[in-house]
Amino acid sequence: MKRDLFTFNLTSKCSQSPQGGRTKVPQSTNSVARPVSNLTRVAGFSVAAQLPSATAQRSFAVRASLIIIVGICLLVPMRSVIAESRAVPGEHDTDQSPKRSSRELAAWIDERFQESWKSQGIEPAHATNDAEFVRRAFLDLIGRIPSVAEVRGFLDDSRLDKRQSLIEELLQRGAFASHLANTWRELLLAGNTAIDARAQAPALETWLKLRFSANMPYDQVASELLTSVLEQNNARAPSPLAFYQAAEFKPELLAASVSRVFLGVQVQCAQCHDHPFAAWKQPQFWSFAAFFKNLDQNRAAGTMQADAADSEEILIPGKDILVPALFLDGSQPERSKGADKRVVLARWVTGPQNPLFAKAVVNRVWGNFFGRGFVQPIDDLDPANSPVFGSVFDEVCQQFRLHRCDLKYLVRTITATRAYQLSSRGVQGAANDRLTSQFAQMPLRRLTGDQVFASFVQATGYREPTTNRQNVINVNAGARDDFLTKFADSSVASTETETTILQALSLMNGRYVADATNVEQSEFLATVAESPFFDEPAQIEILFLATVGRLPQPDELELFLIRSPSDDPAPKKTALAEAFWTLLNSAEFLLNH
Amino acid sequence: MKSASKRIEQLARRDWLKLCTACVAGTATSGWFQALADDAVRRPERRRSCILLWMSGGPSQIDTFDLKPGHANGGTFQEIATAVPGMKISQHLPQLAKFASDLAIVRSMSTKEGDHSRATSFAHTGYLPQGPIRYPTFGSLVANELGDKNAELPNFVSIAPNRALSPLAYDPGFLGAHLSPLIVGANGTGAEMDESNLKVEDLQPAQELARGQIDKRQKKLQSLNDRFFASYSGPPALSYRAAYDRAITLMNSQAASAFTLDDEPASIRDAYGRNRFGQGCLLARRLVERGVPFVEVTLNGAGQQNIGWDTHAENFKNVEQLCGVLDPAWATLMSDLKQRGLLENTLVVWMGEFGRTPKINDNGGRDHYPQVWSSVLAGGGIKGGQIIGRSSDDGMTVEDRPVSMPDLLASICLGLGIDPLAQNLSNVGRPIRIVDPAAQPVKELLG
Repeated sequence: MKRDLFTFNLTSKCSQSPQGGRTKVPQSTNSVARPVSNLTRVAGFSVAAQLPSATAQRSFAVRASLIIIVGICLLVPMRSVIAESRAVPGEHDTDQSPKRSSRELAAWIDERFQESWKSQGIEPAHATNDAEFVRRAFLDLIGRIPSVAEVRGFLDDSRLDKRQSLIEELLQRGAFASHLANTWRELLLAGNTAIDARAQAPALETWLKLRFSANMPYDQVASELLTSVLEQNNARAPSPLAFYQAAEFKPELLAASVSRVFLGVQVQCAQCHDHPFAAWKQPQFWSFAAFFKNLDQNRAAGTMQADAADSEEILIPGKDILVPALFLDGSQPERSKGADKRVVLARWVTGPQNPLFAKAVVNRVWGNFFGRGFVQPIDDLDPANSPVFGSVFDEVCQQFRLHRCDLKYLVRTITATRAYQLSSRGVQGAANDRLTSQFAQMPLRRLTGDQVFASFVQATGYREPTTNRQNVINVNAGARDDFLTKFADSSVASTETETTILQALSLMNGRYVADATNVEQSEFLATVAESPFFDEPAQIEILFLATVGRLPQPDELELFLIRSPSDDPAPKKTALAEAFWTLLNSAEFLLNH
Repeated sequence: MKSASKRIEQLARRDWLKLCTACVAGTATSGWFQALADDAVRRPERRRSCILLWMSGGPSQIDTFDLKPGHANGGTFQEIATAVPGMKISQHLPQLAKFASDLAIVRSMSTKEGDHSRATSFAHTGYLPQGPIRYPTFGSLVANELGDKNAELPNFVSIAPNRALSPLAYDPGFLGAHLSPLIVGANGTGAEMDESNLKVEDLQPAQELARGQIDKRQKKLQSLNDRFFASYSGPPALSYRAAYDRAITLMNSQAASAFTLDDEPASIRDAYGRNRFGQGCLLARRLVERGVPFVEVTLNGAGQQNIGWDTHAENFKNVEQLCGVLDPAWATLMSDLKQRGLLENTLVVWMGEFGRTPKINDNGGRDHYPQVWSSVLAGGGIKGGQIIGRSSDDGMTVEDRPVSMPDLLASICLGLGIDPLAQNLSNVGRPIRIVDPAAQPVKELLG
């Protein structure tokens, strides 16, 4: 079987279309905190504003299609895969869908899901209640649980469109960009914890955050990452250097990372031998790796850019075979003189002719919100891993392209579906798997290390002692690092993240929780304990809202009430500490449900 | 639990076919190896524990187990005779020399990685990093094979690891967090001579709580969780429950007293050496005694130095000092295990991430040298009193029986009664063998 990974989508467009300028992000450190509202406007102009220009777009689409078709005809002799994929009629050959707003697309997705569930006899889970939804939305969009006031505000809100309003509000927060940056940092470093890459991780985080705050189109973010000038970065200036460092600047490791992250293709096995199960051959792998040739040497020599006059060939180690730089589909780069070959590569990776680029990111973002992608494993788009709801997947990818690779559009769409708003309550065991695999029930997900820390801070009001900041010698200084180290996880999917004994011990007995649950030391707990406005049940209620984002059930309230008749405050304080400790250790606190 | 279900039976048919082809080819070339592996699996009583004495930084082979007297590369140390005629080791390992009949010295280790971080993870996983595949560290693999999942103690304990140097070497990878090492005594380098603090972090509450209060909290927690689990289920819930159950078991366990070294007579503690590595070896013995299948003890330094065996300068002074820590600890461990009848069921491995240059540099030091180095195996499953392989007179090349890292790991597997060709399903959906199937176990090592 020939792989059909590179079936070409003739009608796709992306942010390189003339309707939008390239979003610029300030490079200097000083500008980190500067608002970039004008840029946000360029990148994120509303869907409504785009609609009147649909005609113009269509005529552009026709022209673009012609150009692409001509281009492809030129490539045909070079690559049989292309010929084959065009010969087989498939979804990509059908007419282009109309551009849909996120709400329209969400409704369309829900219809497809409903039809399918009906035909399979699947009864989907109930819709989330407001408390479930607000907690899930906060965790998924801004990476932490909501505060007591935020939960109460949402529960008391009587507007019919309050869920949508909440999403819009969260999308505008800086924390949305930070959380996205944290998520992408983990993805780009793939659990790599080498000292130099880790030291540069904050710079990568900032670099990503700047781009996500400006809502830079995702293809442009990828492009900038792939072509960035690799300067020594001793300061904490924003820089994607960590990505290259994690791959040790080696062509073979960079080729593997780039294809995994941006194309969802696992080619790395072909590094040493022809891929055992997929169709990748060793020369193909090294041809792709050739784009990253000499980065390490040039870096050592102080010139970070590849030499324009570099040969485009690379030697397969251990074999006396020289292979040319070729894209993964076997096509040849057209390289004008003096162009950095990474620029040529970035154009191909992110370009509209490459369907895998959108698929990889859509599958991943979908997976971040649903605990699983259309294709599983989430980072392996091998044809053998056939997608669930393939036509929905294709449509979301196409709309993502039509919306200029706008990640916020994608998040708006996902969160607007009824599927995303289904509860995770429900049946146990195998039936549960069946429902979650069809997006008919939300699976439980373990919070990531970032989410655990941010939620702990939110729930307890934890503040980093300022003296710690001075401690630059100890790499592990700081609560955030403590949490990220302890709750680090190497699994790709949040549904598979495991809890360890040491994590449990640290939450039960460790100093952070101990301090937070000590009335004498915790400002928050002291406020709750000493406020004259709260009676005992009200105090317990606040602790529930602060940790699990809901009010206690009567029997849960009963579990913690002591109803001490005496005026002695000590037993009440003990009871309050006990309740807070229990809630911070509860499964409900650690899981996104 | 999860790893077992992730095993090969879940493979897609296409993978099966390819695997079977590979199996047939494999058996044809190594018949005896397959027979041994089959035997190991058939006879569960052969299963053993493993203590890995990890020499962080890369120990100098020429100054420990492969001396070159009379050659300029040999340096200043003398050879001494051991209990086994003809088997000579460094003058700075006199106590260990008495146990030579239990030791198998491999003088022909030969690898390619010369970077601490990469070599450390390679030595621990047996695989070079390949994209997103999360190779488990060896301790997790052994714990997965030999561990009792209902045991009160964790099945993999790592004592004083230098985790920052190579986090991947302590990562359970695709086997999952339930096979993570329980790490003790990893509070940074610089306290090598500090014997205290080999305790499990956060095993007891940080604040003063009465026993009754702790029980009460745990009961309420269980009660609250039971309500949650009545409505919500899935793998993260199971994993949460397992981790908390095991953590609470450990907190309340008698077995956790393994970590209370004060229970040992002072004479024993003195014999191991009053430093982190020495007490770590004592702890390893106490853990193995209680059935823990894999314990790793790291030697990070001696005296004031905390660079381990990374002796780029002043090699001889440093190695002598390090041997001063290593020799009593290891020798006492051997005698202790013997006395208790544990040695025949405990495989002790001594190694670092690579060796050091035979040529002495201008600073009187030796640099990284993966081409030729030594490792030592002893105890359960190992035929002692022998030397495997040979390096050249100048120590620059392997002259006989080169042994790769996978070769060594496969041999250790067989010594422990584990089939090195057993497979686990990896995070990329592909089955991965415990040890690279290209490995050729060192048959002579096995008793």
